[in-house]
Amino acid sequence: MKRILAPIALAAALLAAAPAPGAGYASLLQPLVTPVTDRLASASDPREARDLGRALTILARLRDGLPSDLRHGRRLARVLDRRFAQDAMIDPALAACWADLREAPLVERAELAAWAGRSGSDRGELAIARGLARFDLIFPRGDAMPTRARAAGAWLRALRAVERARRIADLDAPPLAPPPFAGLAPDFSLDDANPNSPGLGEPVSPRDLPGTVTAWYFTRLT
Amino acid sequence: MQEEILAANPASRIRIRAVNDFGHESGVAGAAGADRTLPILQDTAEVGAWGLWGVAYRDVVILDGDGNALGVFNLTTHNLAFLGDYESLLASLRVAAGE
Repeated sequence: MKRILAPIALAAALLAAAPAPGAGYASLLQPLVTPVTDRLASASDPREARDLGRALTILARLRDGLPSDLRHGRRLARVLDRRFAQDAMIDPALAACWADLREAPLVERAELAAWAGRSGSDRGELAIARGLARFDLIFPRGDAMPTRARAAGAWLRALRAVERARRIADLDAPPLAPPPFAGLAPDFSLDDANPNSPGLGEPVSPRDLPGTVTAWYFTRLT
Repeated sequence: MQEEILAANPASRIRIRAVNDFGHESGVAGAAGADRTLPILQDTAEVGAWGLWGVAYRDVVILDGDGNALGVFNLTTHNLAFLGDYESLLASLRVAAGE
C-alpha cells in the first residue's frame, strides 16, 4: 500500500503544481491526464504505478506548441505502450490523442500550401515548395511506423520541414510595426471630403466608433 | 478592402478611413469614384492630423476598439499588390477585431 500511495501522492503533487501549457496553446496531450491519473489510482502492480507516474511526469511538463506536444508525446508513448497497449482505460484515450497528433501537422501543411504563389518572393516560393515536398516525403513514414513513439517522431520531422519553410519565406514575421504613438490615439476632427461617401461633409474623429477596429490610411492624393 | 471585409461579414466591426495630407486637396476628386465610398478625411493646417499622430506617407495606423494604437502597416514597405502583404493587413485587422 505504501508503495502505491507514493506514486499517487506524487501524481497529485505534479498535477497541482503542473504549469499550464504555453499561453494560448491547448495541448493535444492534455486529455490523457485524467485517464492516466484514474488508472494510477487503480494500479495494483508497482511497476504499473511506476510507469503511470512517469507518464504523469511527462504530462506535467510545459508544452507550448505542436512540436513540444510531439516531442513529449513520443516519450509518453514509449512509457505507456510498453505496459498499457491494450489497457481499457489508457488505450482509447491514447488512440484519440494520436489521431489528433497526426492531424495537426497536416493542418500546418495545408496552411503552408495556402501561401504557395502568395509569398511575394521567389525565395519564399522556393522555400514553400521544398517544405511541402519534404513534408510529403516524411509524413507518410509515420503511418508505417510500428510504434506510436516512432510515428510521432516522423510527424515531428515532417512538421519541422514546414516550420523551416515558413521561416525562410518569412511567413511568421509580424506584419505590424510599432505605432507612431503609444496608447490612446490623439483626437482630431476632420471633414469627409469624398463626394461619394455617405458621410460627405460630416466631421470624423477617431473617437466616433467605440468598439470598432479602425485603420487610418495616411495618403497624398494626386 | 473595406468592401471585401463587409461582403464577407456585414456585421464586421472593422472600418477604414483615409486621411489626405494638407495641400493635396485637389487629389480627392480624382481618387473618388462611384464605387469608392470610403471616407476621405481632408487634413488641414489647423488640425494637423499627420503631425498629431506622427505618421509617415502611406502609413496605415490600426486602432483597437478603445482607440489605442495597435501598430502601423506601411504601404511603401508592404506592397498590397502582393497577395501576401494584402492578406497580412487584412488578417491583422480581423485578428484585432476578433473576426
